[in-house]
Amino acid sequence: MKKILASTVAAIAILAPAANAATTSNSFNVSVSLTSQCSASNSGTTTVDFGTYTAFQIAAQGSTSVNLNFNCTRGFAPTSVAFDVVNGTAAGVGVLAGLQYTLTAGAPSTVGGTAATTATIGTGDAVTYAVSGSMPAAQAGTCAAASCGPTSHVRTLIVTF
Amino acid sequence: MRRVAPGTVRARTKRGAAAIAIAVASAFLGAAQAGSASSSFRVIVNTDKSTGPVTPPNTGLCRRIDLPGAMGAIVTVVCSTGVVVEIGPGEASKPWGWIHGGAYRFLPPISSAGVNSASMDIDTGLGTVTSWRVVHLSDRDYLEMTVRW
Repeated sequence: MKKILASTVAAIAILAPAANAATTSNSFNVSVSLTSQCSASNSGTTTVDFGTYTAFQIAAQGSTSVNLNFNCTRGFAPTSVAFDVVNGTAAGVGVLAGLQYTLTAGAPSTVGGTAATTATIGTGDAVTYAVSGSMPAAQAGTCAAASCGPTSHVRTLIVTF
Repeated sequence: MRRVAPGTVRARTKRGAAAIAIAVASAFLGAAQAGSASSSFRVIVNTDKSTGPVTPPNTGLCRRIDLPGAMGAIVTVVCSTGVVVEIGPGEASKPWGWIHGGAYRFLPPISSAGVNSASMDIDTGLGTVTSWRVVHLSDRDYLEMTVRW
């Protein structure tokens, strides 16, 4: 009789843990504040090349165009662009080899990035500005020899967001 | 009288301070979001002054039309104002032959030997020489010019 009782107690003890398995939850918030940004993403040297300008030439001289790329927070767009005032004006006017030129930044072209997922971190929007320039005709330039150059300096496109 | 649980006033005070702190922080965060990014590039040019004379543009106020032909050809200049200027052979009796639009041909009656080929008055006047050329003929040379004043 005692053996039967002991076996019964042991069986209850074994079954008891199974009957106690359950879940409970405790919710919490996940919060973040995102500061939108844009950053330049060009690599290598980009050059706006006016080629060869002949003094007093009768036609304005155009330049090659460069694409300046910025990587921005998705959905976020710069509000304005301007050129540096170190080697010219914010409007893009500058002087090189005694020749005046004006740079122009076109309207931005945006390629949307991919949203982050649980598997990937996603990518930003690619914002591109095409920059080109023009030199007015009939300029004398500054050059002590029959020809000079190439002469160059660095300009910077600044986007504000 | 309404009973106030202990600590309630202190809790409200803390919440108020937190709200102010968040508002101030938000204001600063807004300012911090204004930023800029820059991308530099090189501007380059070659200058050249060894090229020969540059042909003036055939555009602008007037358009020049050189009609085919040798001596005696008529040069027509059409201006944007609608005025037509033609330069043609001068009239024999008028050394400063009047042509449309104020262009003149000066034909001094001098032979190649430097002798007056005829007795003729030569008009003179002040003006701006806009073009000129020396014409060599078999029996004489002469200066042809257009002036304007």
